[in-house]
Amino acid sequence: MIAALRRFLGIGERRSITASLNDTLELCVGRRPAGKVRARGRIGRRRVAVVERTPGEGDQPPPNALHVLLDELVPSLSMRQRAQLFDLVQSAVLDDLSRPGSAMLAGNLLLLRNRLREPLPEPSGAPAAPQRLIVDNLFGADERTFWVFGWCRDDDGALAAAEIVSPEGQRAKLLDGAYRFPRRDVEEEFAATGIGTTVKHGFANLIELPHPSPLVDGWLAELRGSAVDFELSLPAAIRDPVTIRAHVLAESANERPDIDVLRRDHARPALDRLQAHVRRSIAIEEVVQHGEPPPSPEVSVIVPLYGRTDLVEHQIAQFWNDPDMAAAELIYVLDSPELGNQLTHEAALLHDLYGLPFKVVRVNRNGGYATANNLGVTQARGRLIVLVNSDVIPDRPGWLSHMREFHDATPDVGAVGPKLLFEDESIQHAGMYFHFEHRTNLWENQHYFKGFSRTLEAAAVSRPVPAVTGACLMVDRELYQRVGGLHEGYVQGGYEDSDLCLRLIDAGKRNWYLADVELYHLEAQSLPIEVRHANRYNAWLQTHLWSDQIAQLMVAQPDLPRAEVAALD
Amino acid sequence: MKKKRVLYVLHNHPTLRPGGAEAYALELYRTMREQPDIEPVLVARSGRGGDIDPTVHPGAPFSVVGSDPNEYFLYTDTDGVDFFYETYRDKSLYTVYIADFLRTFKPDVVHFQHTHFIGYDMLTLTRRLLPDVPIVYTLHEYLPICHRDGQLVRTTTEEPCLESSPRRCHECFPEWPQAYFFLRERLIKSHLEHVDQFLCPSNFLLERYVDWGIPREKLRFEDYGRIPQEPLPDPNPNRPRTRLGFFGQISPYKGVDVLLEAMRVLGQKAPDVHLDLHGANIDVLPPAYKEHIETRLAAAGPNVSFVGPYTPGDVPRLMANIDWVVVPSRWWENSPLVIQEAFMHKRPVVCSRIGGMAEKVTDGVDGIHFTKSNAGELADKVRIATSTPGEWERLRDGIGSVYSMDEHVASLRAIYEGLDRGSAAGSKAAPLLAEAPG
Repeated sequence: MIAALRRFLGIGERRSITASLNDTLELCVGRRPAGKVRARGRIGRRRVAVVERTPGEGDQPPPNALHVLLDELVPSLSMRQRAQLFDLVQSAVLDDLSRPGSAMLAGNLLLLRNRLREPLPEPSGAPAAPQRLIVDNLFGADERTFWVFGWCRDDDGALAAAEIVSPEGQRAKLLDGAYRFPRRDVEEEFAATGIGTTVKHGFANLIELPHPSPLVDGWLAELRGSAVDFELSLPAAIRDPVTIRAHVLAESANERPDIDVLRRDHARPALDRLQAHVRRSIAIEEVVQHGEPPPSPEVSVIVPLYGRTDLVEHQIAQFWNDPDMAAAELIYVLDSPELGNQLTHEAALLHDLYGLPFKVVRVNRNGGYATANNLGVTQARGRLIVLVNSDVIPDRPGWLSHMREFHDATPDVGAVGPKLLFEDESIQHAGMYFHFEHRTNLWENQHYFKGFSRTLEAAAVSRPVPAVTGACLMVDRELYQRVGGLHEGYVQGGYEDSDLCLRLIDAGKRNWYLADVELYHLEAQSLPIEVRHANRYNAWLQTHLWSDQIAQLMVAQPDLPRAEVAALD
Repeated sequence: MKKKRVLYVLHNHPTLRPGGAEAYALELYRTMREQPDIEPVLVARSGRGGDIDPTVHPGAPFSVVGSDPNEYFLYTDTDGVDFFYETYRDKSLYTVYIADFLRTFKPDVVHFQHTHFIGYDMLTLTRRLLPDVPIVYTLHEYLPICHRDGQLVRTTTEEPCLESSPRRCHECFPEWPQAYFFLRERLIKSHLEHVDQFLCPSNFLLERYVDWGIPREKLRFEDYGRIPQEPLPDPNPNRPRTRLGFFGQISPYKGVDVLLEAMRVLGQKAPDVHLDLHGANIDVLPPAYKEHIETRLAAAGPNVSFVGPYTPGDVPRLMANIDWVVVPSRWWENSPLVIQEAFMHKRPVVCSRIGGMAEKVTDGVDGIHFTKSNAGELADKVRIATSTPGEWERLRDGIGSVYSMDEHVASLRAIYEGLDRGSAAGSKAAPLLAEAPG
């Protein structure tokens, strides 16, 4: 019976067997392999090779499933031979994890890892041997970069090494370079066992693997040391960008004296990788032009839409009867794909009702405020662009040509931002400055005269300012692109505008507050907690990137008393 | 000679549900139909919520009312109306169906009597499709200004209000953030900008719209015109003049509860004074208020008769049976049609001393004012007036003539003419919004 099975499986007297690792790669044991050899070696007396199979080549028997080969082979291998076999196969195929369709290969590597690895014991959990390490969260910022968050108590110093093992068997040091911080919850839980309260048990670490890890399940941690050899199964890796971003931002919003270390060494690279990862899959899905666009617009107005589309009607009701808007190019950029069909339908009807030509750019997924604007700019034909929030409503027609005339008449102009008003006629924006917040040690953005009367004399003067808000900002399109557009490293719509203004100053330009043009900006009143976390991070990133320039700039522009600001310049 | 085609747009057809403005608008339409050089077209909204099922054709919101080829229902679904912005959510109502109607009928003048349930968007659409056609809009209440059913009455205190702003309106409707009231005003004004001439049946209303930012030159006083009615002879001309009448909708704003409270007081002090309550639409009252009124009615003595709904044809007979018409509204009113009707039938009016009522009724000349919501004062004044010999006759003799439908039609024709061509273009160029300060 067994002999017949072996014959059927192609395992002949020479005890040779092949198994597929993915569509093209095979693991061959025993027989001389057909096809291009990736790697070969001897495990004991057996010849082992990884080969690239060419379809239709020769009359080779079809390969087996890998577990069949392993059932046959593994019982006869020593632990050392098993490790050798795993190293041989893994090193031959890891590069293929970067290729499309790597899931099958990764799954087979996980199978190999589990069958060829000598497992360490799992922790007993007995009171005498309390839990030593827990990974609470494992987040994939991209295919190779993982944010690992948890705690480790090693009060007795017994732990010599902690490694994290990916499903495909890639290894990385778990705690090397980690940001450590106190975990009150852990201290409370283990208070009875005399846990140290001066020790930082918590850790957050951004771990980079040499190769992608496409699987979410199968992560391990191996802990070794005097009397502590054991392993742990880790939670599945989470890859949802929204969840990851919220976690990383919340952790980096903690106020600790050394929190900048977390931000600099872990949070920023994690968020940058995450954004780059998301960004790679972002594409313009559809561009619909409603009506006949102006033949050669001087100005392109770009309005990003996120999470809601109802304000489009309110803007178009105010835009359509303004000759300036009819001559300009109006571009809505929607990066909330779930609202795409709704907007497409509404936009067509709004065009029919109002007759104003405009363009709707649909982006396939949300990539943040900066990305939406930058994508919108790629669709713009105007010499000038105006970034406009969807909750900005002009006070009266003609605002656009006023801004354009001012822009064009001002030498070395960077960004131009008008007076923005709340719905109760108090000032929302009359230019921005940077304020050093001692509580957080960060340069934060502040608006001149916010909350003061629309008719305030000091706000009636157009003047250079450190920055203007992106809620309504005019800039030369080529200049915008030359300085790199909005920086996509900021999160969830904050500080991209001031960062742009700083880059414009860096490029020798000056940003201007324009007092004669008034629009309303219905700035949201209450910010969700995630946005507050994002703003803290964004303020840090701005400070990290620009603190010297900002400090220099603000020496020339004291922020108090505000009334004197108008007298400057 | 080509007739001037005037399209009248109305929020409800009086055959579906009675209402003062609706009744007036239908009278106007029918009078215009008699003009040799005018061809009126009527579009009245129908929809769920009325007590008569509207005719709905699949895929066509328009349907004929009867045999008149110029009289149409326009069906809109009440659930499809955004009552905050006063707009119909499905814009294809405008871009497909109303556009089709306007292109088919090509009116020379569009005179909106109301856009409730239809949406202000129709103004913008009309202007876009018919750029040279005069647009006239009769303001019946304060709906563009006030989300509280256009009544200018605060939800917080039930006091009349003279100051709308995002902050104040948000106080009345805490569920709507301030910014939304700003958006509401801006959106509505963007549509109203296309109106060439607003007609204001009272000066009080006119001033409210000036305060709100409509340029004064676009607003014009023009009262409702009425088809004259001869009063029926009094059944008993020598009777004591102690019978009061209330005519109109029983709604929280109309002050029926104040009147009922006054009747309770009068029941003890002047038992001869009697009230006939002719009230419509009690069935659609908010349940709490309906209960309130029913309780008051039940508590009222034999000096109150609740008669119920009536039709315009009933009015002469009902007026002949009473001596005084009471208009106890808690809101400003505009130009209450019931005051015109009372005056046509030579009945002095007892009314709240506010807004359009105080404007139309002169205290001590053709009626009596009392302080709004003050049932005690109302009772006192009624008691004194009904017990003072010759007082009723004196006030009756003070009643002047009521603005007639013929005068009104002549005035409207002049308005339509005046807006034609050149002058229309001139007034269109004027921005709706006054220049901002600063």
